[in-house]
Amino acid sequence: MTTDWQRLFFDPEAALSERLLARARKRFGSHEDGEAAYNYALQEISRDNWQRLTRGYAGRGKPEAFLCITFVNLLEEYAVRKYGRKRPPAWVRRAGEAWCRIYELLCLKRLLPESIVERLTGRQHMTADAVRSAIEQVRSRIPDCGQYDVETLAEGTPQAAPQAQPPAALGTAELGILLEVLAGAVAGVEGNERPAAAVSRATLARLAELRDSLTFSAEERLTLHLVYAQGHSVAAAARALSEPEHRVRAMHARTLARLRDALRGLGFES
Amino acid sequence: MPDERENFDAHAARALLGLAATEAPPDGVCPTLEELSAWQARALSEEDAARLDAHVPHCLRCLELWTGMLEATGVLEPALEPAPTPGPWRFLHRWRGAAVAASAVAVFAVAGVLLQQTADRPALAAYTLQIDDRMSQRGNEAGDATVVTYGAGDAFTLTARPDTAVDEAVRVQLFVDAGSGPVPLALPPARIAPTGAVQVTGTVGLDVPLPEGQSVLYVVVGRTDGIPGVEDIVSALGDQPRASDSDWTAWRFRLTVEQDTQP
Repeated sequence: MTTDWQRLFFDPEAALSERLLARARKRFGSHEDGEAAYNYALQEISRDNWQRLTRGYAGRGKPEAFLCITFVNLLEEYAVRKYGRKRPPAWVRRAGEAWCRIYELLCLKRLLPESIVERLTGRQHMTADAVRSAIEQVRSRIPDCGQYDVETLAEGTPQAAPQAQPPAALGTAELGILLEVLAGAVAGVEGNERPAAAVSRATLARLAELRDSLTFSAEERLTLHLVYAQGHSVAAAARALSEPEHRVRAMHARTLARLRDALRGLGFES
Repeated sequence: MPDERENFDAHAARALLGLAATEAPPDGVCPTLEELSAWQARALSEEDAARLDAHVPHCLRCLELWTGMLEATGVLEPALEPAPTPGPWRFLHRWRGAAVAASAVAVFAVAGVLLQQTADRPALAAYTLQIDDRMSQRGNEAGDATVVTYGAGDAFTLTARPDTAVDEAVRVQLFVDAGSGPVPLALPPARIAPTGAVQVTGTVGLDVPLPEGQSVLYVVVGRTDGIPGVEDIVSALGDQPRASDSDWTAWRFRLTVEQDTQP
């Protein structure tokens, strides 16, 4: 059975086109960029009578999910074309969406700090102080922020599928930076008082211990990521995992308790 | 309420720290897009599902695609962006309240603007026309020399994209002149994207009845209540490839449909 991709994309009941536009606007942080990315993705996905979808879909999973993930991948392809392949350092990505947005506006789009504050506090429910503090952190930890030529990085041919090699995990130094940034919220210590190079041996040793003492299942990691890096509710995480909400709530509570105990055991919290 | 907020902040910091500390290099190569969507639907074999269970939660790239898919399919509503950690997250609730109030004000403001626009509305955004890979035209650069060639059975995709989003009703009309004056083309229904982009697809000779031989094709995109009659469009275009008004943009180009020589 063949899928009428065009009908599916524009079906007003499914509302995929509206949600994909909302996703594009959120991803790019501005209506102009989001709409340009959306138009690019629409043009590419519908090229040659929607051949990209016809060729890539063998019938596993739902066609609307495949259409959406292909579209989202094209939005990323647009970002590569426009802003180059440079992605936020792993520690920024691990610190969550808000940090990624600040990195993008500061280091890729090279907006002035006050314009970033204005943009994010106007639409993203952040306080000006929080944004200013994060900007300072990014600047102090990424000295070459905004100092490369975007045009030279934008030449590569975008990939139609996720890259063959997965992105590297956090390195030890990066982990140390993230720890310092986050430790302020856990222990009430400002994380930006020490430069990146001063990640102490004691800190790294504690991190190694934490790594040894903690393990998360796939479901636990996905829940933590959805709730704390992406800002969704636990109920939404349960929907994403196709699990009953009460089960995910219980799992989430146990995970947080384990985390708190592990951090206390290592002296991160009193 | 502040306590709840501060609790959330502390949980967030712990969670992000825990995720970072236990991060491992993603296992294996990234799955295909179809595998990722099938993983969500639990439509993979046990072996493939285990492979993705080991990979996706550690791969930020795959996580981005996965959550993007969940938002686009409506499983997740787009989330409020969390504030950077650490930071004064306790103000978040107040911001949410302010955002609701601002939204209400915005709704009334938009309603007011719409009422005003019926009397004096701004010019519609400029459109770029693309017909498959055969023709792309924004301004008059292509000139009258543009000839678009099709054969019977060829796929036909016409896309008109606005430079900036158009959040009002638009439509597209095509006319073809094979020598006896422009006549409207009956085409499959156009699809209108939320940005105002317009698309028509079909198959030449099947549901796109382009006449064989040489003709002139006219395309017009505009406000549903703003497109004039074909005589006015032809007159506005004259010999130019493109013309526009505050309510519409029109294009004119030569078309050749090769005869079907198959027995």
